[in-house]
Amino acid sequence: MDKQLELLQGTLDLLILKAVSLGPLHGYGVLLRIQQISGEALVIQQGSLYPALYRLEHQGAIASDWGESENNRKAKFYRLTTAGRLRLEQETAKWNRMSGVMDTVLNAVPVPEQA
Amino acid sequence: MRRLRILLVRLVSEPRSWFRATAQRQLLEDEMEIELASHLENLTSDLMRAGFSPKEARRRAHIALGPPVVHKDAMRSSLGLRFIDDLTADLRYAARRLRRSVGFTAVAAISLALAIGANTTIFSLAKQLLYERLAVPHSTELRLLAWTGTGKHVAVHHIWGDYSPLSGGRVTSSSFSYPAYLQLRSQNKVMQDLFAFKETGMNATIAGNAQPVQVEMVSGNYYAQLGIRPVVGRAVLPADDASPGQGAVAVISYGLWERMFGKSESILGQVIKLNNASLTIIGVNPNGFTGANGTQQSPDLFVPLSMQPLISPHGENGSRLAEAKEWWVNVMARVKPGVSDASAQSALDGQLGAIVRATMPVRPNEDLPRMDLRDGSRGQFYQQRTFAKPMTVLLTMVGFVLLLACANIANLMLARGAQRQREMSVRLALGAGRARIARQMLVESLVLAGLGGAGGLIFGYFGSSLIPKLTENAWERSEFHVHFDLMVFGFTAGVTILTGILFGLAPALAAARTRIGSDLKESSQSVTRRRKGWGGKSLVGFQIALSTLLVIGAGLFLRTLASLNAVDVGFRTDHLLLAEISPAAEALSRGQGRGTT
Repeated sequence: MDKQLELLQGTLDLLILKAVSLGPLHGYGVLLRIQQISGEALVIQQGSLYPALYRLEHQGAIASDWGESENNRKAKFYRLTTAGRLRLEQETAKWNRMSGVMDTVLNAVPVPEQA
Repeated sequence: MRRLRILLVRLVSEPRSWFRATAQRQLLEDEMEIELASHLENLTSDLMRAGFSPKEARRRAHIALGPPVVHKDAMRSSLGLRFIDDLTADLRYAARRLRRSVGFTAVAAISLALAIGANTTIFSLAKQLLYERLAVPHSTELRLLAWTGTGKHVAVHHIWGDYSPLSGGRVTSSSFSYPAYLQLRSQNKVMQDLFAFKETGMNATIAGNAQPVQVEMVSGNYYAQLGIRPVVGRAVLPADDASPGQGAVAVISYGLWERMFGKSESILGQVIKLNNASLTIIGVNPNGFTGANGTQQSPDLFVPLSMQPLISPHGENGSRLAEAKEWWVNVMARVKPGVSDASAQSALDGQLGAIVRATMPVRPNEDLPRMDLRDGSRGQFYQQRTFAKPMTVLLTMVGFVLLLACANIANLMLARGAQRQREMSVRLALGAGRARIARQMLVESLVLAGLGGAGGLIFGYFGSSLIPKLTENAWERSEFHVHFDLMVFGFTAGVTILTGILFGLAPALAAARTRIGSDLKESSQSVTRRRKGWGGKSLVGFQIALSTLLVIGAGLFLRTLASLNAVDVGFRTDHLLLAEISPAAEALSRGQGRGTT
């Protein structure tokens, strides 16, 4: 069963940071890249993408420049800043710890009682 | 470390991004539009490539992206623009509402403005009259020497200066004889150096113009002890005050310098005549310095006490400086660190008793003056005796006016809030947040309060300059100024505006608390519904009570004023002129009464 996963709360920022860390992208490109690297397994509310991009730019984690898109249209390209890279590393570490802990917790098996 | 760096970047980046967004708002809106449109376009062409018809592709793209208006709103709030956007909307709405009910706005704003203005004026006046200290460094260290004695039996008989009864048949005065001052000063170990001064009116000829002036005769250490340095020239020094009849110099007040000399630097060395003695101007006092005698007006001239025999002669040989029986100079000193007022007073008291016994005849049934150390930070503080009572009455009156204005505003706001409960219900039903509604009401109250405050500022400012004009009369130049006191204004404005906000907000919150449906139903059923609660009624009662009090008070005042004006003095008062002559003191032969009206 390959049902698509709803995004966990707070993970969109991390996904965006990861996506633009691979190279500058415009908004639609961010969406495509996340879908591509996740193997189409994640559902992103397309409307929530832009507020998140604006928020990250507001916080200085990503920066933007206006350039030309593939179809020669004016487009806004987002790229990772140094602060954004730090934040990506930090959040990645946090995520890994979290998922490790969740893994351990969920894989716990009852210890057979010794008679 | 890393977290700190991320935080720092945010701290720099967010304000910058906010300012850019606020300053280039139109650009931002255009960019958002372009971004969302190009997203839609990309999505549509991708869907078309996947095999959908153009129309179907566009429809699906629209559904996938969702409503752009909502996204744009979210993008704006990502940039922190939400608050300012809401605020502008609130302001615009508030302005519209207030414009629509001009009557309400005018009544509320004018009553606010009047209350703030009147209170600022009167409180400023009171503060200045009763609380202002001498304009010298560390004025609270100053102590004024004074004495008390029994009214009928005190050994001091000749006083030129203040003399007032105390309770229990005792009297008090802050005048000392010059020999007593000199001895007190030389024996003093409990205070810093004692200095003396005496303020009196004289005739002066300045730049060819004869005019009445106020003169403060000061001891040589006066300037050094007060810590005042002239802005031009030098101060009166101990050398000027060394021997009687010597030291023909004068320091002039800043006011006189401005008025008579146009602030010219070349006044130093100019000669003025003071009661026929010629004095050389040696300096100009700093602006705001009013002498040691009082805080309200500065004497025009400051001359050494040694000049007294020439400019203010008295008795057989003209001099008071050697007379132990004549008590006339005021004495002040700063406290000495580590010596309490009580111990200083008892030490000085002992010395004073000995000095009086040694220098003056004391009859057996007479008692010695007892030293009384007073706060000297306000000089002699005459105005307390004159104004303390009237000011209390006035302050109580305007206090009531302030209270009434607050009640007024409170009631207006409450009534308005009750009136708008239906509007609130509708807005709640349409999905407005309670916090949002409360904020809207707050903004409205603030706009109203701002109008009132601005009016109050104007009233207060003009009121402060009006009061000196009311006290003017034909033959006395009034140099009395009421400074517009920003702190007082802040207080009165704060109180009234806070009332407005509080009572504007209360009904809104009440409305926001009620359940939407019930309130809508209730208010639609009965248009003239009884107002809930006792708040409004008791406020009205309070208002009427206060207004009655004020109207009666004002009526009494006016009636008294009118009767005073209509008093029959026994002769015709029209076409009469009042003239005052103060002849030079030594021009009169001895034994004759001196310069009086």
